[in-house]
Amino acid sequence: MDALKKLSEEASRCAKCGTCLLNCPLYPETLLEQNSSRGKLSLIESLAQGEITATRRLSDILSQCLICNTCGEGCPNQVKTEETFLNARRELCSRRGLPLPKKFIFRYILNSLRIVPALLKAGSLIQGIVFKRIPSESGLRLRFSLPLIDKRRFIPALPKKFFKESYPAVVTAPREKMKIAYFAGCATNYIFPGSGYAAMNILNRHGVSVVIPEKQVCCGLMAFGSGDWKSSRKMALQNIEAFEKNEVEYIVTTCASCGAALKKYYPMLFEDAGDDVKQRVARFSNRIIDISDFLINKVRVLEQPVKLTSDISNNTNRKIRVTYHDPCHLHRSQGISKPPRELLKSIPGFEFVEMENAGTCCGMGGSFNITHYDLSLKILDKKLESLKKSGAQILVTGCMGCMLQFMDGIYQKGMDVKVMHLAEVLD
Amino acid sequence: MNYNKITPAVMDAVSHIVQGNVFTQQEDLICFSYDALNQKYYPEAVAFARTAEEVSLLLKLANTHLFPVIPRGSGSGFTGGSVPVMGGLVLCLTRMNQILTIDTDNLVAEVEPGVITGEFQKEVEKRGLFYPPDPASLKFSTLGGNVAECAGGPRCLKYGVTKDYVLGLEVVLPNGDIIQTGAKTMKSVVGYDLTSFLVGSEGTLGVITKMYLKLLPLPETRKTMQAIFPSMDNAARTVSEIIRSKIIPSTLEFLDQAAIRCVEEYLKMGLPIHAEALLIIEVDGNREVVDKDAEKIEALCLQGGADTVMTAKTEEEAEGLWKVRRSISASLLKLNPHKINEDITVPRSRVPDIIRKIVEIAKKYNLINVNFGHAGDGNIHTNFMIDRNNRDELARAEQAVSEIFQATVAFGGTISGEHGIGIAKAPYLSLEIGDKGIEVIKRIKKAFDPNYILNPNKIVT
Repeated sequence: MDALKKLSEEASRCAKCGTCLLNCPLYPETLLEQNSSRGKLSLIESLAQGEITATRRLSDILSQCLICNTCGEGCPNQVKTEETFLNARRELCSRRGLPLPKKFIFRYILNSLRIVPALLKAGSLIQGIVFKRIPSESGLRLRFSLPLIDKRRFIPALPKKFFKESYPAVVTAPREKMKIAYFAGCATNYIFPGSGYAAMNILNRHGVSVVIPEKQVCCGLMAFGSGDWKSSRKMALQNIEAFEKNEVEYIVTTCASCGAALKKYYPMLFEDAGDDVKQRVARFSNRIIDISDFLINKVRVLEQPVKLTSDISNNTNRKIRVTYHDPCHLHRSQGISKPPRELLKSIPGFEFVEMENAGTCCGMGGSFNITHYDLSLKILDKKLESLKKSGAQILVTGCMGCMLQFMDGIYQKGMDVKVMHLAEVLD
Repeated sequence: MNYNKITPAVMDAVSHIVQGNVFTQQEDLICFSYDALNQKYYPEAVAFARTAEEVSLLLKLANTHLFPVIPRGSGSGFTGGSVPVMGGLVLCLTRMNQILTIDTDNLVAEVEPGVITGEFQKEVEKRGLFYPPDPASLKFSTLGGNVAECAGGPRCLKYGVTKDYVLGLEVVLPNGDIIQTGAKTMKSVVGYDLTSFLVGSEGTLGVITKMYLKLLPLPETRKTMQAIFPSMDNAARTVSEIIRSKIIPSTLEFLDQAAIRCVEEYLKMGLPIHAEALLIIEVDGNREVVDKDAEKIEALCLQGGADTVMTAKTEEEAEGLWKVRRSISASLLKLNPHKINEDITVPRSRVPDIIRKIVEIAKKYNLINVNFGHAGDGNIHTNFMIDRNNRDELARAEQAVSEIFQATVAFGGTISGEHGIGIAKAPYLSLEIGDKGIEVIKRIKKAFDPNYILNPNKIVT
C-alpha cells in the first residue's frame, strides 16, 4: 500500500504542461499521448488510486518507454519519471506476472553461472546453421524466421572464446600501481569480448592490475526494467557478494547499462531492505566507475607519459573522423559525457566531430528493442541521419546495447561506419 | 444541451472515417483527458484525422448523432480549451503536421495545424525568415493550437501576437462545410473578417485544417541585457522611459523580488535577493541599430535607478541571462507543490499599480505570491503557490484571483493576455465584457454551431 501511495504522490506532481512531449524520443514518432511521459504518469495515478486495474493494455502502454529519462531531466517540476515508471512496472509485474519467456530467462537463466555460457557455447557452435554469415561485417542474419528475432536484424556473431574464459582471476599489470576489480557484464563476455580485452590492455598498460571475480553474473537490468525486481535482487546480491571478497577501491565497468544498474539501480532495488543490507549495497554501488571516468579522473591518463594511441591511424596520414554517441545510461544515469570525449580528442590520429543530438537515445531501451522493434528502428533512424551528417568513419560509444543497436541500423542502411567501444579505439 | 453517447455503431462510422485511428479503451482515454490546466474530463473516444475531408465527415456525423467534438493539438493550453468537459470525441490534429510551402517570394507559409511551432520556426529561419510568436510552450505546442488560442509570448512587445501573422485559414465548420477565410495576400477585405472570428476562438467555431502564416525577414542580430533595480517603481518607470524614447525592444521581461529569490535559491548564481525587480531586455535588428539601441537602453536603465546593467557579449552569455527567466517555473515549485498561474494584462504604465495591488491582495489572503512576465506589454504572470489538497488555501487563492481580475479590469486591463478563457476563466468573463458582450458571443457561437457540437461549454456555456 505504501508503494502505491508513493507512486500516486510522485505521479500527481506532474502538472501536464507538455514539456515532456518533444523531449521524448518516442512521442514524436507516434504523436500518441499514450507514449508521452505525462500520459503514463496520468495512468499511473489512475492505477494507484484504483480507478483502473493492472490490465494488459496498461502494461502495453507502460512498456512503450525507453527509460532514457530525457523527460525527467527536462521536467520543470522535476518529477522523478524514470523511478516512477520503473516502480509502476514493478507493481504491474507483481499483479500480472511476466510473460513466460521473460520469466524463464530472468528467473532461471541469467543468474546462473553455468547455464548461460553453456547455452551460448552451443549457440556459437550452431550459429552457422540458424544464421547466414555476413562476412564483411563479421555478423549474422537469420536464415529463417524465429520468434523474438526479427528477420531484418543484424546480430554480431558469437565469439569462439568468451571474455571470462580468456583471463585468470587476476590480471597483473607489469608495473602495478593500482588494483581494481572489473565487472564484465553479459554483452562484453559473450558478444563483444574484444572490448573487454582492450580494457584489460589499457588498464595494464597504465599499471592497473585487474581482479575479475569469477562469481559475477548478469547485472539484472533487463529483469529490473521489466518489473521483475525479485530476480533482479537475486542477481544483485550475487554480484555484491562476488565483489565483496576483494578490497579494491574501484569496480570498473565498460558497459554503461551495467554501470547504471550497479551504481544507480541497485540502491533502488533495496530501498525497503534493512540497514545492514542497504549499507552493503551502498558500499558496492559507490565503488562502481565507468572506464572513461576512471581513466580520466583516477588514472589521469592524459597527464601520464604512457601514450594513449590507437594503431588505426598508423598506416595513413589522413586523420580518421570519429564521433561519439552518449548512452543514456552513461550520460543521464551516471552524469558522464566529458571523459569519453576528452579521451577521443587526445588520440593523435583522430579528428573528433560532435554529431547532432549526440545525447539523444538510440532507441535500444533493453527489451524495448525486442518488443517494439519497428519503433526502435524509427528512433534510431534519426540518430543515423545525424551520424551520416557528421561524416564520421567510426562511431564510438560506451554501452553494449547502443553498440548492438547502431550495428543493426548501420548494416540495414548499408552505411560505411564502424561501431566501436571506447576501449577498443583506445587500445 | 443534451448530447447522445457515442454508440458502438457510431463508433464504427468514426473509425471508418479515420481509417481505424481511434481509441476507446479506458486506459487510452485517460491520456486524452487533460491539458496543462490539469483537470480531468474523460472523452468517450479519440480519433486522429489526417485530412480536412475526414474532419468534415466526422463533424457531419456529430451533427447527425449529436455528440461533442473537441479539437486537440498538443494539449498544452492553460485554460482547459482542449478538455472534453461534456464527453464526446476528442479530435486529434497532431498528425496533420506538414509544412506545405514556405513561399520566400511572398513571405507566406502554408501549414497544417499539427506542426510544432518551434519546428516551424527552425524551418523558416533556415531560409532567413522569421515567425515571431513565441509562447513559452513553443517547443511542444502546435501552430493550430497557437492560432486557436491566439498565443502570445515575450516577443509580442515588438512583433505582435499570433493573430498578427494569420493571413487566412482553411476551416471545417461545425456542419462539415470546408471554407477558406482570408487570403494568401497581405491585404484582403472581402466580406466579414472570418479569419479574426476563428483566431482565438478556442476551437468553438470551426476546426482549422490549414493556415496561411505571414513571415518576416529574420533580424540580423540581437543583444540581451539584464538590469537590476532596487525598486519596482523605478524599474517600471524605466520600462516606460525606454518605450517613450522610441525604442521597442523585442522582449522586455521582468521578475519581481519573490521570483528573483526563487531563482536564486534554485540556481545559486548570485542574483541580488534584495533587489525588487530584474529586467531582461532584448533588442534585435540590424547590427548598427541594435548596438545603438542597446547603448541607449543601458543608459536609460542606469538613469532610471538600476544598480547594475549587464549586456551579454556572446551567445552563451545571452543564454545565461535567459536561463534566469526560464528557470522561474521550476524554481517556484520549491515553494509549494501547485501553482495558480494567471496572465492578466494592463496598460504598461499601470504595471507598478497592479503589482502593488496584487501584493496587497496576497497579503490579505495570506498566500505565497510570485510575479514575473512581460513588463513591456503589461502582461503579468501572477502566481499563487499553493497546495491544492489544502482546501482552505485553494479557496483563499480563488478569492484572491477574483479580486485581482477586478482590479485588472479597473486599471483598464484584460483578464487574459495570452492563455484564453476555456473553462478556467469562463466564470469571470462578464467582469470584462459584460452580459451584453457575452450575449454577442453566444449569438456568434449559435450562428456557427447551432447544435453546439464543437467544443461545448468553453468560453461561454
